[in-house]
Amino acid sequence: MPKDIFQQIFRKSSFAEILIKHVDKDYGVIEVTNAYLKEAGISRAEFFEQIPGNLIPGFTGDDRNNEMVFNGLKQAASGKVSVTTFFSEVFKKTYTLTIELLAEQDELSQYFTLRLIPAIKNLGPVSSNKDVPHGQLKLDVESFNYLVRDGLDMIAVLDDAGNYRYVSNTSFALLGYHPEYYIGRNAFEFIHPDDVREAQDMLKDIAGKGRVTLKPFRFLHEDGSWRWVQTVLSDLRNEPSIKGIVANSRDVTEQVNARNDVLLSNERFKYVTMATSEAIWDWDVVNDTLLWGEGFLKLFGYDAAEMETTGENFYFKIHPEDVAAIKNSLELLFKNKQCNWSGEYRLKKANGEYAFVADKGLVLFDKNGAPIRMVGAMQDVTNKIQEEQRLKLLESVVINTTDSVAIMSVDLTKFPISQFIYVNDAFLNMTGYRLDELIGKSPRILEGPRTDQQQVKLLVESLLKGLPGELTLINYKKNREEFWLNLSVTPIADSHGNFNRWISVQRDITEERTEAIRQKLISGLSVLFNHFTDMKEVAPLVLAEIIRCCNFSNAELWLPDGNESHLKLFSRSEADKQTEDFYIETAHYTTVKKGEGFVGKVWENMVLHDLKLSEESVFDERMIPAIKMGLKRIYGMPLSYNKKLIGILVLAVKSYHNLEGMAVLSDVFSEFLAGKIKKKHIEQELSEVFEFAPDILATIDYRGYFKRINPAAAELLGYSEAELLKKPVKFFVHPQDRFATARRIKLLTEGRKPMNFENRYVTKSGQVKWLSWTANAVSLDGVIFAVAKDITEKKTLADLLQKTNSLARIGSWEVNVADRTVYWSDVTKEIREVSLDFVPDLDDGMNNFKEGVSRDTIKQKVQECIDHGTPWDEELEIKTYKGNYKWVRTIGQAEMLEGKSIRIFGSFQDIDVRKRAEILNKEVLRRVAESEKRYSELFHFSPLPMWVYDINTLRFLDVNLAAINHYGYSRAEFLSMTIRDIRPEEELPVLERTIQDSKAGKIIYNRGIYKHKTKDGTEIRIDIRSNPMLFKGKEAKLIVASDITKELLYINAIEEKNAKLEEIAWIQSHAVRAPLARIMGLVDILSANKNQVVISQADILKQIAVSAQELDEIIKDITIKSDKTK
Amino acid sequence: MTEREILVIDDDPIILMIHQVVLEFALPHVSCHYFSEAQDALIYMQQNSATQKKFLLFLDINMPVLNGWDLLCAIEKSDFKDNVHVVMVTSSVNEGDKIKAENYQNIHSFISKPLKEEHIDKLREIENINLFLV
Repeated sequence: MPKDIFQQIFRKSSFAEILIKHVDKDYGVIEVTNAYLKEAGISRAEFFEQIPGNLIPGFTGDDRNNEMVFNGLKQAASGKVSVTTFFSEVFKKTYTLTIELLAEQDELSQYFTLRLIPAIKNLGPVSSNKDVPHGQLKLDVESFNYLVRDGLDMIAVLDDAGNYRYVSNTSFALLGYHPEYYIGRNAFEFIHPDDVREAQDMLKDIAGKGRVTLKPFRFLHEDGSWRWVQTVLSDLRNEPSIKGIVANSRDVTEQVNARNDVLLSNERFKYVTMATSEAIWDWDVVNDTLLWGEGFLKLFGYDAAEMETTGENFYFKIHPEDVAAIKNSLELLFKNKQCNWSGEYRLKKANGEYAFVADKGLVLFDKNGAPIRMVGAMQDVTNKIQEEQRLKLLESVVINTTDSVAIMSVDLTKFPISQFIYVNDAFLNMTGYRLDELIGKSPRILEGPRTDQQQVKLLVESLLKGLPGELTLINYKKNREEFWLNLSVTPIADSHGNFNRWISVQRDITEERTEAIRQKLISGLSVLFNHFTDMKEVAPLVLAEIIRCCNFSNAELWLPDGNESHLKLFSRSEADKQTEDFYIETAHYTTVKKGEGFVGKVWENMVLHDLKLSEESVFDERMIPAIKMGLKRIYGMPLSYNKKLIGILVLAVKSYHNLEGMAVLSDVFSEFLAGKIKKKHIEQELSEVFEFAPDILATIDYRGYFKRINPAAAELLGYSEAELLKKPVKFFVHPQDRFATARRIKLLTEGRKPMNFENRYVTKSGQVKWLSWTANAVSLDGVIFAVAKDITEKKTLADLLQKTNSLARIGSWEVNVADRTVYWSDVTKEIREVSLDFVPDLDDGMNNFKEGVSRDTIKQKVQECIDHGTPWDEELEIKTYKGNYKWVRTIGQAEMLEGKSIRIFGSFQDIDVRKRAEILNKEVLRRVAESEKRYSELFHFSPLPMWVYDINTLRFLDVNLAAINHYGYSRAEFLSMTIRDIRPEEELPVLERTIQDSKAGKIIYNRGIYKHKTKDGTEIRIDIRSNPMLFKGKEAKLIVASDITKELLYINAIEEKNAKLEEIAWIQSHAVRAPLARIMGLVDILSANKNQVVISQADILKQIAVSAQELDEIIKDITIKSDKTK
Repeated sequence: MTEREILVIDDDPIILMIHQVVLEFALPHVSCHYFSEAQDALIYMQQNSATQKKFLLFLDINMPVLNGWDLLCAIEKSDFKDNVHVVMVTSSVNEGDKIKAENYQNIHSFISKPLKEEHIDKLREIENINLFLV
């Protein structure tokens, strides 16, 4: 439908126009206007019949015009409007042919309009001559001029070289020159130099072509301007009336300029949209159509098809949060009739992200003030916005960071070379300065006496080389307080590469440093505390270490006295002479009460005191000497453990501030030191207990060695402490208890429960000691704490009692009268020969006494005891369960309650051996009496003399008749004598020796032969036998004597004879053998007939004779001697 | 080679002669010296002590002045006692003498007078002595 409507509209156009479609290489006529058909004087059907061969049907039949049309189409296809003229031989009229590209559907098809306009108006006369043949055309100049006078075209006739031969009078109107001016001049003189060449080519080209439409070129106007002229050349050189080339020119300057302007502006627009990053848009407000430049597609990644073509739709691309604001601002704009608009909003990109855009627009209003059109451009400012945000963020970081940031300008020509140009709040807070106090100042304002200049110098050198640097140094706050500053400085170069800015980021690391110093100090002090036992020994070392680590000049430790009423200067650091002088001067100041002086004040308040010394701050008498010594500041730090005062640490410095001192002046350190001192106190107390406890105290390690043992143990066991620590515990334990002890120790380390046990130890001297232990494995590493008591004595007593009881075989028993249950002790059971698990009863007990007296007695005694509480003590005989008879002693008594016995109990002793011995003794005594009688008879009636004498007094105690008769003394005389009296003088030493030997026990039984003398003085030889005996309670000897005087005389005679016989034997062996040997030797020599020269045969014989003689005499002598022995 | 000599000591000159006959016959190559007094034998040994000469003594016990035991005592005290080996040669051998001989290490044997060749043969079986009897 719309197509038909458009077709109709087109047909009714007032122009003579043709609509041409160009596809690929083919051109096709789509439609033709009614105005064309009317002008051409043909019907629509005729038009379409002719069109394939003739492109301008009805106007010309000349094929050459088709070529002109094709050229025009080609030109139009490139976007330039083609304007040409042609001569219609049908109507004898010149027409202007304008071909214009209407629309480009796509790359392949183009639409063109081809419009015909009569070139010369009022061409009536010409057309009236249309029937005149060419050859006959004869125009006089006048009439021709007239014809063209008012025409717009300039008509000229040129020769081959382009020289004017004729110019129509329209030239003046067209180019400001009169026609005469041109005559004789060359046409190319007037053509713009840029166009001359093309024009010349065209002119040459005309030969044989008849007619050429030239491209418009610039032609010189009389006023000096260039006019665009379109010329059609017709080769009429063969025409006799003309004999030249007719140039039909027309001023097309306005058209060309207009077209060129459009083209230019289009071009510009295109280039602009291509070149700028802006997205250009054009909004037809009335119809709400929106056109986009290429920039938009590029910027936001859209395809052309995706683009919104209405304003309403475009709003969907705007971030929902921004839409309302944009709409509002536009409404406001239209309402106020303002032309310029701008807005920033987020625009959705093809990839879904939002871009920040800055949009600007210009509104066009109609006469009535209604907006009709709005043209604008938007820019993607995402990066700009982000950069801005980033900068804002960075700025806020710098402003708000807790690290201090400073920026310095650096100018080597100035001094100081660096100056603060920016510092953040953190920097101000850190240093205590105000901003205006720092800006323009050198960072060295922060330095002070303890700032390490060497390090600063190195840093500056590094920065000047453009290298960043970092260092940690002591800096000073505005109040000159020291602090540890860690700073990292980076030099920043400007665009010329000069490092003229330093950015410094710094941090106050005083706390970290302090903590590090504190940890180091604490670990150092821990070592000292562990190494030394005595507080007195360790304290000065600790104070010295504190001073050394933390730059104090003095340190004192004050500790409370025994009843905590005073603090005493327990220890102090040693220092230079000046300090020593101070202590000499204040030597008496060693104790304070609570609240008294500086130390007392600290004690009272129990908080860290920090005092700057000055004449006004005199707390006590030490202050003035302290100031004199150069102390500037003192600190008093209470050391408390579990909120109890342990002591006070007093520290002093010779400066107003001590950075390292912070390590000590903290709760953490106070607690540490208090804890250590407290521990030392406890250790010392424990140590004293350990050292002086009378009982054994020991710690035993997991290997089974004593770790520590107290002197009491060493004393008891007889080993030195060192010896006890060197060997395992079990070495000292009694061998029989070693296994059990080792087991105990193992149980302890595993169970960790306190344990009691007894074991034996062997002392160095070999004594056995019983120890009763209480042991506990306390510590995690398995150390056992043990306490022991020497229970040897108790143990010995108990042992003794048990042994005694056991040896004495005393058992016990008990009868509960009410239920008649009986208890027997183990010994009782043993005595009765029953097993230990035997359960006795009362009747059994009594019936087991031996029938008769024993059983009757016991029954009676038990009854009496039960009835009346009468105790008993009897020795009776029992018959054991194994059938043996035994004597026992049984003792019983009763426990009475309200006159009635409730329990009887007593002992039961095995006295069998004693009793039997007693019984035996009686028998023995009886026998002794008998033997006494027999002895008496034997003694007195013995034929051998016998006597008894006291071995101590040697007195005769008894003598028999034979002795009286043999020695001649009466009985009475004997009993008043000692045995010395019957011995001759020379025998007395022998007697004494014998007596002594006898007393020493060397001689028990004695037999010997002694000389005695009788009353009449006769010496007799007596063979004595003696036997020790008890004679009426006295130690005595019984002597039996026999007189052997006669026997001895006989023996002497025999011995004499024997001596003689011996002499004979000797003579025989020696005297007889000598001559005999000689004879034997000589005879040998003779008989062997030895050939020898030593002795002659005669001599041998002589010597044999001599020897035989000698032998004979000897034998005679023997005979004589033998006779004498008879 | 160590020089070895035999010394025969007896107060009875007849016995000395008999022994000389026996020894010269049995040991023709051995150097033998005969002393009727022990004193002379002792002096002889002292004079030769420096030469480390070894001596075998055939010694009588019963002699006047210096008897056999006395000589042994003197040798015992001397510095050449280790070079002296002794065979006791007596008229009668009794047990008392044998017991006494145990105090002297260098006494190797007892022989009853007179000395005979078979005695020499017996002595050859005794170590230390045999070296003299070649």
